[in-house]
Formats: sequence, C-alpha cells, structure tokens
Amino acid sequence: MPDSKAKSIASKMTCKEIFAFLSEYVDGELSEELCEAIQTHNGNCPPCQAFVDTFITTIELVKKQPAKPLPPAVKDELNAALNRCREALDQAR
Amino acid sequence: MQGKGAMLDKLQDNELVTRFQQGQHDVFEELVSRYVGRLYSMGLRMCGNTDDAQDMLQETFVAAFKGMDAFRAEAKFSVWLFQIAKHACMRMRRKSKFSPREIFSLDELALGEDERKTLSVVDWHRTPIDELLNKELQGVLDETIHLLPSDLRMVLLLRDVEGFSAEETGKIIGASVSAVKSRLHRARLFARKHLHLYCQGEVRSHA
Ligand SMILES: [Zn+2]
Repeated sequence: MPDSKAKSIASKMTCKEIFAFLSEYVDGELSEELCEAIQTHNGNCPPCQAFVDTFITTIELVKKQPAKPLPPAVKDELNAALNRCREALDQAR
Repeated sequence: MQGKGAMLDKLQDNELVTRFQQGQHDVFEELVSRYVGRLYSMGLRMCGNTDDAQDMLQETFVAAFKGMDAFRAEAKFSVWLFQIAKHACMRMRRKSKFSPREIFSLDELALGEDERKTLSVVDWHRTPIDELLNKELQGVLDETIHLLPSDLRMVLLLRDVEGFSAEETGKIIGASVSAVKSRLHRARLFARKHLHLYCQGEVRSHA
C-alpha cells in the first residue's frame, strides 16, 4: 500500500481505536494496512507507543510464566487413583 | 511382551490413544507424564490453592481415563484433556468461596490522562524481560492472574501460558473465537494495568 494511504488511515485513527486493535496487532492478525496505520500513529504519539511497549512486555512476561512445581505427594496420589481405575477396567474385561 | 514402553515417548498423543483403545492401558502413564505439570499449574492458577488444584488434577485424569475409549481420533488429545480440566475447574470453583474483586472497566484499562503523563517516565518496558522476571515480579504476576475474573483468567492461561490457538481455546471453553479474542484482550490489558501500577509504585518508593 502506498505510504500516503497508510498515513491517511493513521491520521483518522484515534488513540482509543488503536487501543482496541492491540491484541490482534501483537498476535499478527491485522492487515498490513492497519499495522502500518498503528505504527504511523504511534510514531507521532509517544504515550500510545509506550502503552504498546508495556503491553508487549506484559504479554511476554505472561508467556514466560514457569510451571508450578508439582508436589511429589500429589503425583503419588494421582498414580494411586489411576491404578485403581486401571484395575477396575482390567477386571471388567 | 516385546519391550513395550521403551519407545512410548516417541509416539504422538493420538498414537498413544490408539494403543490404549486397543487394550494397552499402561500407555496412559505416558500421557499423564506429558500433561500432569501443565494441568497442575493451570489448576493452581485457576483454583488458587493446592488442595483444589490436586482435586481438579485427579478428577481430570480419572475422567480422561474413563473416557479414553470414546475419544475420537480426529480430535486433538490436548484440547480434549483441557476441556475435561475446564469442567473440573468449574466444579471446584462452585465449591470455593473465592471470588475476584471488581475488574477495571475497559475505559479504565485504556491509556488514561494520568498515565499519558507518567508512562514515559516509568519506562518499565525498557528493562530486559529476564531482569524483570525476578522473584518479586513473579509474585506480582501471580497476583495479577489471580485477580482476573475466572473466564478471563482461563483464556489468558490457555492462550498465553499454554499456547493454544484462539480456535482451540474456543473449543476448550465452549466459546466463539471472537469471544476468546475479546476476553484475551481484556485479560492482557488488565495484566498490563496491574503491572504498570506496581512498577509505578516501585519508581515512587525509590524516589
Ligand atoms: Zn495515540
């Protein structure tokens, strides 16, 4: 798309409109036109740029959540419960 | 028996299911070992305490074990398993007294006038992720996730922690893709707001 067209879409986008598209923007689900419009808007609107940056950081942090350690006793009790199920199933055959 | 089990870890989920359906019931252990950590983590984050997470875990795997013969090969095992887990979580939640506080409205989650002035000063997004992920921030993140209403929390966990697609998440929770997307967006905005408030507090406390 020509630069001028992206600029004209961007010039019409308000901060609030940018805000509504952010998840799709981060997930790569927006059209190229809208991506460019958002980038152009952010280039002229430092608070929106900072908002997007903190939004992306948040998502990266959530995605990096480590698994919670599984207590051995929980695993043992689970195995015991599943063994009972298996015995019942094998007896039924 | 010719060395069964030795190569189980090389098999796809659905191949293990097929073996189970042919009567080799001990392959279930391999499926458990693949998902027990992920399901327990999700249970803990959904239920908020270890007892309920343990009950949910047990209920999920027992129900899965009993339902294995009904599993259809064209489905994805992980999606099916998390579907069962989602129902178990909901039953746990009905028993628990915990209910999250009021969530911010969408307008409050947007870029407000106050934040417009302070955001560039705070600059927490310029800190490398690995530096941010210290023990204290981990606690704040846990709290953030815990404060989300359960329908938003479930979507955030399935999409951003477990890595399911929007479509798979919709199947797991029984919602449309657009509902998944809108919940994910609100959950992420809420998390961002909560982290921002925390980081702002940090800046103030060091000033
Ligand atoms: Zn703006």
